[in-house]
Amino acid sequence: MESVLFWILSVVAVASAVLTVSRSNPLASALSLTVCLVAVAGLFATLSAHFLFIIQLLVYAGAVMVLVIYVIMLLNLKEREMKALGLSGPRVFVSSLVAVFVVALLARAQSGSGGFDPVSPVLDGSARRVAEIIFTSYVYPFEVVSILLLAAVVGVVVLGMKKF
Amino acid sequence: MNPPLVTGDMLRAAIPFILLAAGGTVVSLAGAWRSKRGALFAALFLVLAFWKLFPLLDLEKGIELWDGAVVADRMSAFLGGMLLLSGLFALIVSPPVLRREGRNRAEYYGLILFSLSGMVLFVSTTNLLVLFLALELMSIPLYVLSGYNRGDDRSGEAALKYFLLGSFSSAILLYGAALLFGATGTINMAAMTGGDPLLATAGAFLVLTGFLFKMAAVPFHMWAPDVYDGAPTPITSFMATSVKIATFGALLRIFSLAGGAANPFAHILTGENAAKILPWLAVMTMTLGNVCALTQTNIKRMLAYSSIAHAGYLLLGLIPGSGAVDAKGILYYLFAYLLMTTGAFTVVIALSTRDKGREVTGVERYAGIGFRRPFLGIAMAVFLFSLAGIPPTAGFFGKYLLFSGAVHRGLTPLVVVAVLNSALSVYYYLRPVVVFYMRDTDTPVRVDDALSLRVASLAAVVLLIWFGCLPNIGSLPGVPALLHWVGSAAAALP
Repeated sequence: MESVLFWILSVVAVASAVLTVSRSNPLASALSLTVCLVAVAGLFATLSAHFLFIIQLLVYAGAVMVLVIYVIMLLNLKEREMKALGLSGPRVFVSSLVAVFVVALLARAQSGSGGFDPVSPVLDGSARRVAEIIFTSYVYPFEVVSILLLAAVVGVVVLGMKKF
Repeated sequence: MNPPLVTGDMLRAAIPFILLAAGGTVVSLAGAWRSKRGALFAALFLVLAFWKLFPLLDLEKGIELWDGAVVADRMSAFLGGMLLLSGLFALIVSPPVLRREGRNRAEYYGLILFSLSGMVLFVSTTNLLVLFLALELMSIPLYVLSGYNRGDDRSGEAALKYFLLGSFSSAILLYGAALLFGATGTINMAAMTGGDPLLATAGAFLVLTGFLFKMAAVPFHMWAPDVYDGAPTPITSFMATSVKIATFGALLRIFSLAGGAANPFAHILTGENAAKILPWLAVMTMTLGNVCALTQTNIKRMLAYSSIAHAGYLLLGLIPGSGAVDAKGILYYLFAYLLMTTGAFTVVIALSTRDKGREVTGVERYAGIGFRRPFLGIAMAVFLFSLAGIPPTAGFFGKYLLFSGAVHRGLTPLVVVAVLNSALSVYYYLRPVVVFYMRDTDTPVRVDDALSLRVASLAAVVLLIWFGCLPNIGSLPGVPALLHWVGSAAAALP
């Protein structure tokens, strides 16, 4: 059952990722990306990382995608400008080169010794466990994230001010 | 029973970061009421952080917390001190510029403090997660600050360029971190051993790429001239000094962990093919920086290329050769570099004017300044002599330490290239001096006589010469203390 789910979700994720980069209409790309993110969220769920599953849906498939679609709307691209966004020879070449490199690395990680098993039973992705880790051993990075977000907000306000 | 959430050690180790982050918050908030006093508030927090950092300089044993998230030792304290000094200069020289352009907002100083807090964190961690967060925390305020002159197209261009390229480099660093984690199963660089060699080495290289971008080493330097030129000059000065200090400081720590042959970063330093990459990078960086600087007529662009060249000299200290990483040489050089670069930019600030919203910083405009403004002329000459490495300045002594250390580690060919490069650099460093003293025009030049600019450049001149007399008069007060701190900071590394 799980392996069937895994294959379905993976095929959907990869196919929609390819669509994301190959469509010349940015809106089609954005929608394919949404599908891809949802499929990846499903993969998280099959790994029993429930917290990540929810976050992936809420933040990436939800909030981030809405922002992306807003930006596309604000850019208001013309038909002719969209053409230039499509795939071209050099772009296909470079991106497939990178893809081959990444796949090779992943294959090596899969077969190689050392490292660790990502689906080991020790890893428990429930919200309770994640909260425990975040607020004990990772409390410092957690606080740094809050400062980082604050700095980013202040920065955006500065750049967006009507006049000084 | 759980261990206590906060202990005295934790507070002691993290207090400089906490103070700076709190300062950034308070100063940004204060902008809502008293936007004119931002620099003063920010300086207050900076001095407080200095005061809390000082005891750490004599820390017997390093404090490590949360799996390497915070590593407080004499090294991080010394680097933190230099970063704060760079920040202090930025706070001193910014108000006159902002005031004459009518944009003296407290948020500006808040962002400087946020950026500083990221840098302080950056040099005191071995944890990849915190390293990445610190990198972002120091970069994001800088992206905004480089676009602070919104009336100037070049400022916006600089911000956009820096932001896009910086985001890419952050992503590359993050990808490298993911590979390192996948290969070794830990995010604490101090605990990384073994793992798949290909994965680990690829990860280490990608992380290194992120660093090379931030320090503007060739071939990741393309952004530097445009960003340095377009950003407001006080921010250029701050970026050119503090980001270099932070990246080289963090790299020193990471590379010194590579003493264990099983550490992923050891592959970069001592691996058979990989060991050849760093020397090439150093040679390319210093040569390209110097050659491109030769033809610049805009002094900000010239100083940008010069900062690329100095990154090349500093990379020399990171090559272990037959010994270890030259922490002492790098630290002293960074100290000198901080003073001379800030000083040179301060003079540029005093002499810069605006023409239709654009900043004008062409060298030819400086004709005759040397006689009309003796102090500015002499100060600029000292800074440029120091950048070129001419005694008796701290720049000379920094180069001497760095190059002689490299010779001792068996890197003589590299040092020959570096010395030739220094000789080349004298040409373009002396050109502004020539214009200052040997040409004259009738067109009056507007000079900003703000007290804070004069204080900053005077302090930089005095310190440069003071620490430049090192080999002969080692007993000048303060000089042995600095050498002692540099030495003990270097000794704090594993």
